[in-house]
Amino acid sequence: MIEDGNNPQEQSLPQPLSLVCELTHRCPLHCVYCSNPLAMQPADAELPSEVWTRVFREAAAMGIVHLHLTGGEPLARQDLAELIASSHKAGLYVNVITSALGLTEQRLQSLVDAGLDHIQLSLQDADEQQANRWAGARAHAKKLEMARLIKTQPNLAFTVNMVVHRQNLDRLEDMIALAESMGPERIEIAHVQYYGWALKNRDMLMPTRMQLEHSTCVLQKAQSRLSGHIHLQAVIPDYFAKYPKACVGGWAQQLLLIDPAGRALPCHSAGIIPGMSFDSIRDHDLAWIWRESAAFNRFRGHAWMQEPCRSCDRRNIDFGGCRCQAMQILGDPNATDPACHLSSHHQDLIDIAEAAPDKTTEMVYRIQSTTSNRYTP
Amino acid sequence: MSDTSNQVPKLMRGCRVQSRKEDETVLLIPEGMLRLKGAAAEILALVDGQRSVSQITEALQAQYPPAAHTQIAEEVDRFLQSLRGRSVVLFKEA
Repeated sequence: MIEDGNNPQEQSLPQPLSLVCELTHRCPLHCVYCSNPLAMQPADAELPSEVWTRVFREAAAMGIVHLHLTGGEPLARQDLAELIASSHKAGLYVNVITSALGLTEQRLQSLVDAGLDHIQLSLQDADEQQANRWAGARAHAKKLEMARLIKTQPNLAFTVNMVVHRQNLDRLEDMIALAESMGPERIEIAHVQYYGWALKNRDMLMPTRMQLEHSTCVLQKAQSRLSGHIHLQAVIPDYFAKYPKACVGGWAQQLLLIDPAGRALPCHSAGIIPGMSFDSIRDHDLAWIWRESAAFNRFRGHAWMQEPCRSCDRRNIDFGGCRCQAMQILGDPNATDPACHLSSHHQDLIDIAEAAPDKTTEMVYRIQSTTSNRYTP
Repeated sequence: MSDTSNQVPKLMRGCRVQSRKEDETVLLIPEGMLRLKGAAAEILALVDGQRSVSQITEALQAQYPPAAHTQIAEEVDRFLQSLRGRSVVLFKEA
């Protein structure tokens, strides 16, 4: 049971709906805004197929609906089709998030035949040279080639994801047109969220306020033009927002993430919060982790909240915002997310955002460093 | 009758109906899950990319002869339009 005496409604455990599996941290891309942690799991620490298969069965039994297979690059796992087959058999809705590097016509067909429901392909820019620059790899042409194959799959949902930032935002209209030409059901335009590698490159990536306002107009126009054909979803940068995002739907409210070595985390970057210890799926079943793991219970409910969150009407809407952001910006994971205009540090965040475009720093590319976080039984 | 009556609704790729618990049918879509209540599951079962909106209404009417035709037509239209709004159903001309 969850200990939270403040609110009787919270004594029942929330129903998890999504499981994110980072199958590997290996990746042929080196994106400057990668959300992976700075210290990654090495290939030899990765979970074997049979452990993942067990996790998928446990997830379905808990009522989890969506499985997101990501990385790194999930195609780097030679057993990807096998993993899709076992998750599909368990009854999960299977989504693969990929750069398409490592995909061939034959491999795509094997993933579809295994039961893949949805594929999300990332694009870095409309301009090939620039796209390859943000990815740190010659990837763009290959992505376009693979998109043409994905488009012809009759039962596979297709989403094109594009991450936008100061360096590519002026080409947003071209980016939307490119995505549209690829024939997806969905286009997701996400402003960079500043965690992991993106935080390192924040000064280079943060949009100007003018860019942001212009992009909002472009997105609204595109949304109404595409309505009924392509669903265009936009994620705005919360440094400029009034209210914080309900990060991962609230801490340990809807989602679990398993890293390549089997550590269970409530979100991508929870590892940056001091004093966290993550239980491993090698040692516990998924239901136990959801219910008992200290990492999941730490910010579940309201007991940890400070004012103004604790008495706020929106505490069940945005859950105080993002714990990792509170940690990163304020050094206090219990604080109100400074993205919230009610935070006494909200201006700090705006100052960071507004100062960024005047700075020029070197871009730091994502590399797989494996110096820590190694799972030891 | 709405002006979509001759259009043919079709589920978007990657959207599928699945029964979850004993008496719960859901529509799984890429970004979530829609619980199907009332006649929703029966309407969706008739969405096959062949039948037009009015043919779906007729088929439902045949299943429920006592129900008022206008009421069925309204319900079918409202439900399909809400799915269209979420990019779950695509309409094409017959």
